[in-house]
Amino acid sequence: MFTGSINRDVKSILAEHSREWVGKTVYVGCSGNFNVERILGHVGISDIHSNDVSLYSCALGTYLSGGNLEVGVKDEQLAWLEPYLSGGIETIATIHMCLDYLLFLGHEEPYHKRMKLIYENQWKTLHAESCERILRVIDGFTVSSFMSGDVVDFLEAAPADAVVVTFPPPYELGYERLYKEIDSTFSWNSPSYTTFNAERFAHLTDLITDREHWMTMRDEEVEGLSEFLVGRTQTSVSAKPVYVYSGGGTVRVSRFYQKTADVPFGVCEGELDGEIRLVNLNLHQINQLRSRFLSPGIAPAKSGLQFAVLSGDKLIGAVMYAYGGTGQRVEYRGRFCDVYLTSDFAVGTTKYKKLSKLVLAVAVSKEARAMCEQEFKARLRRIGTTAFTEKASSMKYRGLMKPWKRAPGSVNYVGEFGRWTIQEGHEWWKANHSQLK
Amino acid sequence: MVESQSQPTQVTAIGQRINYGPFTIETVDILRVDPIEKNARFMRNETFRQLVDNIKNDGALSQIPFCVKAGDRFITLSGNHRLKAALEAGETVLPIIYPTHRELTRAEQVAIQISHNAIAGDDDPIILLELFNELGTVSDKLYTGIDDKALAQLEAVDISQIDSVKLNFRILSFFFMPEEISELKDAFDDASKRVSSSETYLANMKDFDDLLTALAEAKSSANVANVATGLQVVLAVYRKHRDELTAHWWDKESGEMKEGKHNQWVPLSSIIDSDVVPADAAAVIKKAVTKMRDSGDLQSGSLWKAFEYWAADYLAGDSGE
Repeated sequence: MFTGSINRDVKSILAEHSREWVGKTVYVGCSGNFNVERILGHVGISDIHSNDVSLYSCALGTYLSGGNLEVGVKDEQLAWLEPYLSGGIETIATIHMCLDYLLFLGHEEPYHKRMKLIYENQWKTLHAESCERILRVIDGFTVSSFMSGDVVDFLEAAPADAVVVTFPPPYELGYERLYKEIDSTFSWNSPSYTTFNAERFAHLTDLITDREHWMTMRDEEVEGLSEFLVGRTQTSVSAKPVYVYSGGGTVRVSRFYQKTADVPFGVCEGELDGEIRLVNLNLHQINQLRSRFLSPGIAPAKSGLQFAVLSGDKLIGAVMYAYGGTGQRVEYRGRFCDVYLTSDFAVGTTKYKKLSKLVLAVAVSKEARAMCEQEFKARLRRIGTTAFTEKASSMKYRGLMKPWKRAPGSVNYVGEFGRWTIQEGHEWWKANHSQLK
Repeated sequence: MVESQSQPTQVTAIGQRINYGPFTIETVDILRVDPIEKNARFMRNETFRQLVDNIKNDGALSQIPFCVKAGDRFITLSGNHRLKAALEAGETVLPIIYPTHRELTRAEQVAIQISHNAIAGDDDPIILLELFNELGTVSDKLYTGIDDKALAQLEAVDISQIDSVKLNFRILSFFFMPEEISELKDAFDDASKRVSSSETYLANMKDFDDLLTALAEAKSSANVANVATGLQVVLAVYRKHRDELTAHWWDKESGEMKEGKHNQWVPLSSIIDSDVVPADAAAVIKKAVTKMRDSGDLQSGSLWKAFEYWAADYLAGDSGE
């Protein structure tokens, strides 16, 4: 759950810029988990004023400014939490633990019931350890004041010469959705605030930028602020870039570079020669093959297991599978598929028109399934994938998978995982699709 | 970096030519140019995206691919990614340079192909840094293809996240190995080196298959996706049917132990359907067992014989009635 996450490169940019603000008063809107404040403190800024509206941030901010937020339990079934809300760090730890714990309440599924029970059984120990950890991390850090309330009100009251820093969450997510469970569990003197919309976000932007020193961060480019762009960071190949705007200071950019590694197989040229087989590859090796044989315009996707497809000792293609947490499009419980074929591609150097069909036939083989089942520790019967095409169907999947769902620009396919052995799949391809170019 | 132009660039007309020694520089329809089939050079997705952005930003390619003529078409010896990026950037015309003095041999083509990638200079890191730091906008820095992180210009900020302690889990690993005994030890040793976990169990491949089936059926029946919860469902079924384990050593029909040697001990739960007894009953049993041991009727380490004595006495009483 969101408690004010800032990627490491943005932290670096903030730290570098904030050295220019030492000795000044800094107002931080949307404090979240107080990472911004702690970075400011780290570089030597001592007059910091904070603000937020969520229970967790308010409890933490009140504590860091020397106060104590009274918090009670609204839900009678959770009255056992009362002793853990005695104030200060105890209350902060309890609320933070509830960000996870509450996710398991109100569900009848065995998994949720099990997790709820385990949390309750371990609560006393976890809470004591959490208090210790939070105290250790805070390590005497304080803020000058904390305002529980609307960030616009907070910044309107900020002195004109104060530095303003705010890294607000995307307004379409909103605090109220993120902290709904927490608010229905606990009773406290919660502040009133106005929900963000585009107009209010623009007003907030005006409040921030209408001063000499300021900084804000967004996960999309902000129209009208391009002249103030001082940073753009990306920490993973699939992560959205983060844009940092400021009234001045050094410009920094960071990129994510895929790591690649050599693949110890020559590429098959001409005709196939030798047994068709799968050989496990690591992520760096598959990155290299993907860069070589897939259109470089296709964004890399995550996978949990990947193989080279060989004919004898020569490379003819590669396949990548994702399951559960490693998959981006796997829907659970058989509604779409048990395992997702993230990518399958053939080298273009052979004599065959439809080599990609052989790679796909191998991708759905019993051998592939056995290795995926061992890796993912689950029975895998249905394999799914997505063909990115403007057409109603993709010829590559015909005879191997069936369309499951169509959307503009893509078609989901599903098929039986383990429909044949590699040898049987190879025979099928030879009989039906081995035409030469 | 070239400023974006509002007017069309001047070299978009197809067929413009300049003779340059043994080479010709010509603007051609981009669809008449093919990438070379066998190419050692590859480009990561993120680098390619930047190349496309740069071409879009410039409105044209700023480096000319080197090609050879193949009939009416051209094949790129170097600049394959520039060609692909130009296509993706929406370019329709490509400036190329190609030899016109004579036809190159295969060896000459390969040599050119390799040399254009391999003959490249090195950067002096200090001058590179100085030049990079002259750039004052994000777009200029992105254009270069390198970043502040690669140049070690982002300072490390050691700020730990304020966080609570998460659930205390233990990892339980099952290793499923080939059935051959000779392979088993080597495989287990190897597997043990590859993972770090709290406990390790061995089973064979067939058991793995059976376990997956049991897990899949349990998860599906209980409508759960989590593997550990699925395993709990399997264990719940086991607990309900635990008394059936008696059949492994007890012949229900004859009322005797099954024929054949049974070297294993059996759990008490397979006799009394429970591995626990009420505390007050346990106190009576404990007293009796302690008294039997103190009087020498039982030896420490064989206290279980108390149950056998009592049962034998009981059965003898039965037969006496």
